[in-house]
Amino acid sequence: MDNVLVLGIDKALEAAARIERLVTEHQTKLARYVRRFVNDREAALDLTQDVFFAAYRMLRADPSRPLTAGWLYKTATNHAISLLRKNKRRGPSVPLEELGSSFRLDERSAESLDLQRALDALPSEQLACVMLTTYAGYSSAEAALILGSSPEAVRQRVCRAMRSMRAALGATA
Amino acid sequence: MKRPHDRYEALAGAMLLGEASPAERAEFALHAEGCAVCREDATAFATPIRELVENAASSETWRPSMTGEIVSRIQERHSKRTRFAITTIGYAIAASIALNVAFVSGFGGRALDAMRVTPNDNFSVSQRITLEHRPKPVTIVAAASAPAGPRRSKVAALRAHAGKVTPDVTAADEVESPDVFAGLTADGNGARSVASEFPQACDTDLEGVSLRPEPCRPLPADRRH
Repeated sequence: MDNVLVLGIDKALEAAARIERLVTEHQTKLARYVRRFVNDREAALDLTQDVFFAAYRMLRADPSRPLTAGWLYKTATNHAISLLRKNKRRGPSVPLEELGSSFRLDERSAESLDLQRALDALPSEQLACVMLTTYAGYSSAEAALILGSSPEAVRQRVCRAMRSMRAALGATA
Repeated sequence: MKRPHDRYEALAGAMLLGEASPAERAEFALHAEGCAVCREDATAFATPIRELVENAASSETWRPSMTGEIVSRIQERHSKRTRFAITTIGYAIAASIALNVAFVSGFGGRALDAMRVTPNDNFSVSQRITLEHRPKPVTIVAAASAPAGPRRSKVAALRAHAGKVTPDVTAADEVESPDVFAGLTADGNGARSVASEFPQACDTDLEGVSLRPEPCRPLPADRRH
């Protein structure tokens, strides 16, 4: 009984230590990725925390399990796509950042907002391919592994997404 | 289903991502000469959309720090689970004790008393049941039991019961002297003699009954009043 308790405490401590390292290393990039994906800062924070918490649960069950950044991005992408689909069912919403200058973030210039609108107009599969290959910096083969698709399909979606974005940015320009 | 043009879209994507090999670039260039859509894609490669996205990523200044939040959330989750487990176990024990006390000392005990079954010999299943055959007794109604009223009423009753009237019965025959009946009953042999003289009339089966009585015999002289 004591051994089981000690093992449980050891597992929890090991999982907590690993999750702390993962959060320190990936939190900023992952949160920015998710915010670009869902275009909502608060939702991005919640969603990123959910991803790390899911990672913690996995590590709690098996601390020796390898957990890569690819797993984090995959989970974040799936969560973000689910959120986007849920928001689409609810209807379009305008983020607070776009309502007035007081809410506009410093890094979000007019060019950045145009880009965000062009990204928002993409289908979720194309958006995931573009975000993983450009924003997160993965190759098409890595993005295909994360999304469970083929590299050709990822490249094709990137091509179609770029066409749509070119049209959107050209129209706003 | 894969279309033939999907291949060149994938090649265009590879070129946009900077992943295309020289052979793939040459293949795409050869195709783009005869394809307007791909030619437009090729000219659009100059538009720095990818660089725009990458610059947007690098120019981000938002630096969320959620290490403390996540650790506190994990701790909160653990404390919540522990509190939930302790509360659940406590409620379960309290409910069990309350149920036991209520059932043994309260309504449960009375309910058990009410449900207790005591043996009853009066309703034993092994009690013997006998079936007795009792045939319906055939009784012959004697004429003596008939009222000593006028003869007309007796004959009328028999006629109504049989539903059949013999043609040779006349009104004159039905009129009997009350004295004759009085004499028959007075000597104590009236019952027997009437029953013997009207056997069919006294039976239940009245088929072929003749209602004509035999002529009256005069009483002996010593028995006359």
